[in-house]
Amino acid sequence: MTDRREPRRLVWQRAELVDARRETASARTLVFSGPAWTGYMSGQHVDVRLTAEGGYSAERSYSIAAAERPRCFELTVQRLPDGEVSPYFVEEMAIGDEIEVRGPIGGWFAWRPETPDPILLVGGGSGVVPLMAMIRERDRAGSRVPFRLVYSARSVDEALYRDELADRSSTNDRLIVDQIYTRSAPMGYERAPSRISQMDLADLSWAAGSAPRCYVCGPNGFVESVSQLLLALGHAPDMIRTERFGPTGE
Amino acid sequence: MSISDDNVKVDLDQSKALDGNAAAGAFSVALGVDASMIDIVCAGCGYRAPFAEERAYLEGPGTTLCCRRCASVIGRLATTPAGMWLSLSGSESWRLPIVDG
Repeated sequence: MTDRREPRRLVWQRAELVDARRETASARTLVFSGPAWTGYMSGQHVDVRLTAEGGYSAERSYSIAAAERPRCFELTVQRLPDGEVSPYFVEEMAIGDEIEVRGPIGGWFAWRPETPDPILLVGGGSGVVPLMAMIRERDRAGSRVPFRLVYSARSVDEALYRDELADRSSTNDRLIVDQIYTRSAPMGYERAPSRISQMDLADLSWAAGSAPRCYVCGPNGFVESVSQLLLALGHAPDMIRTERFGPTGE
Repeated sequence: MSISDDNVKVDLDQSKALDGNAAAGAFSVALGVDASMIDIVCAGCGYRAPFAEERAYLEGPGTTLCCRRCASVIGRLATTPAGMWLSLSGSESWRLPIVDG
């Protein structure tokens, strides 16, 4: 390791799909190999470019779900009903297929293990992906910073990373995971299905006195409403960082 | 929705708004810094916000950045075979982060 950071140059690089696993009926995690990156921070994203044989190309941004090994990174992609790119990633892309990527991008919505503040993560739908990257990075770095994830999904079937989140939170007393369901909750679940409310975010006992830094990611409407709830609860605007994606339901 | 500044009038479908995070790649290439960390002051209303939190529209031939508070256009970027076209019209200032190394 060296302290001298290389200047960041964002260029398109080829990446090959080397592994994939299904997360839900409509989401898939893809493991890519290839690009030489410097200075990855959890929460960052990549621009992805797909080019069809006729030369037509489409670009999208996807959050990095994990980047724990050199020259490897993972994306978790949710298939959108009218999507142009996401159905390819979720249903068609085969091991050995290649894409172009540019990244990692964005220091704003990023968490560094040396940040001392407690961290409140609020994710809606596939907005949990960059937050999961932060949780993985926290464990990888051996950080003891208090983390709380409030994760809103439509139903158990649509919740990403359920087993891994349960494993990580059960073995770590400073990682709290609160799952919220908006359409249907599993049998015996005490919270009735409904949209996220102030009550869901109000408990600050885990943060032990110091104000948490908040990362909110999800569709536009979700991020807007959570931001308002956090402000109403007294969180300072400069402690709230948001990332929004298009109007994709949940 | 129709929005305008002194020089540009465009029709943007507000429901298609993303945020500056999604536009950070293209602007970072153009400006040579991490665009998400740029602080922008809107010329229309004086609102100051990080690039990452502004509204971004990626549907057009280029990328349009709008003020989160008053929705005025504050930046545009398009890549063509002839080069990258960058307009900061509509913004008062951009404070870029210091580049390491």
